[in-house]
Amino acid sequence: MNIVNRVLVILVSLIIIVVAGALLLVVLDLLTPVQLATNNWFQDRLTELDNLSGPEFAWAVGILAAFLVLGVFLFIAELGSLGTSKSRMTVTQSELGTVTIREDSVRNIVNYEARSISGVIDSSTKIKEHDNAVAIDCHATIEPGQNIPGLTQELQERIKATVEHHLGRPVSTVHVETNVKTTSSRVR
Amino acid sequence: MLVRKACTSVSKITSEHGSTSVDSIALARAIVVAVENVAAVFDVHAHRPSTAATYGPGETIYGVAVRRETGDITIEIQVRVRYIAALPLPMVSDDIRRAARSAIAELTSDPVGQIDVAIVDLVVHKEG
Repeated sequence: MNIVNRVLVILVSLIIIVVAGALLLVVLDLLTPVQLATNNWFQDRLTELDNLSGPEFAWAVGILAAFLVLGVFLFIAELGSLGTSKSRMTVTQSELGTVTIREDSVRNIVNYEARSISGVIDSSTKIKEHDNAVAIDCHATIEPGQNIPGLTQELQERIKATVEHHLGRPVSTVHVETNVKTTSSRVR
Repeated sequence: MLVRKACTSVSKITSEHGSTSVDSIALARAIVVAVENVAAVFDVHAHRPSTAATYGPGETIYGVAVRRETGDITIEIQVRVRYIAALPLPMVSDDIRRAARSAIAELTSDPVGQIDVAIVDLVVHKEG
């Protein structure tokens, strides 16, 4: 869904939330029709809602509450999907079209390459884009007894080469943070 | 979540023998087959909800959106790609575009505009 449709859905969900919320407050006698509307026609309609009782009151509360929940659900879902669309990286953009890749996938290949280096047990990665370049933060858990400067240099070189080769985009920095896995052995 | 709806307009090939009509759903179907034949492609990502889909009467093709904008056919393809160390992604996307273009060329002479490729996953271990 393009950005216009998304903004439209967000606006519609906000309208549903405001209208359903206001009507619900009137039905529940927490707001008076005069407080909500200046126009006489609207005040008359709201007064009808305000005077509901018995099963009609219960139906009105149920329907308005359902609309309120629907509006909140749409709003949250659409905001959530806006967030996921941001996590795509552009690989190439030309008159032929655009090639994008999910940031998660780039993280996965960085972690895959990092773990394939002897001495690296686990890794997690953060990726940031600055202008055209990519900046990578890698947190690696390594086995004890490793040559840390040598290992981190190998990690930096491997990660930089992998991302530049696969994405075709320059890597500005690769920050590597290491954590040596400790083995606790207790003899009783 | 709503999806951008690809229209199901029809393109027509006319010759001395008569005319043939091809709708967007047929083009989308052909693109899926062609793209999945590209060696580095694991599959066309046809999972719902998908931001790329082509709608036809009684049928929806997820993962490929065929649209007709300003006379050209524009396409969006969502794929999962095999992680092959020697193969850069721009090269894979070129192969995908080439496959999609030749699939369309077999069905219609309408001009093809931009082909957007969205790589939704890189498959590292799975073989298939």
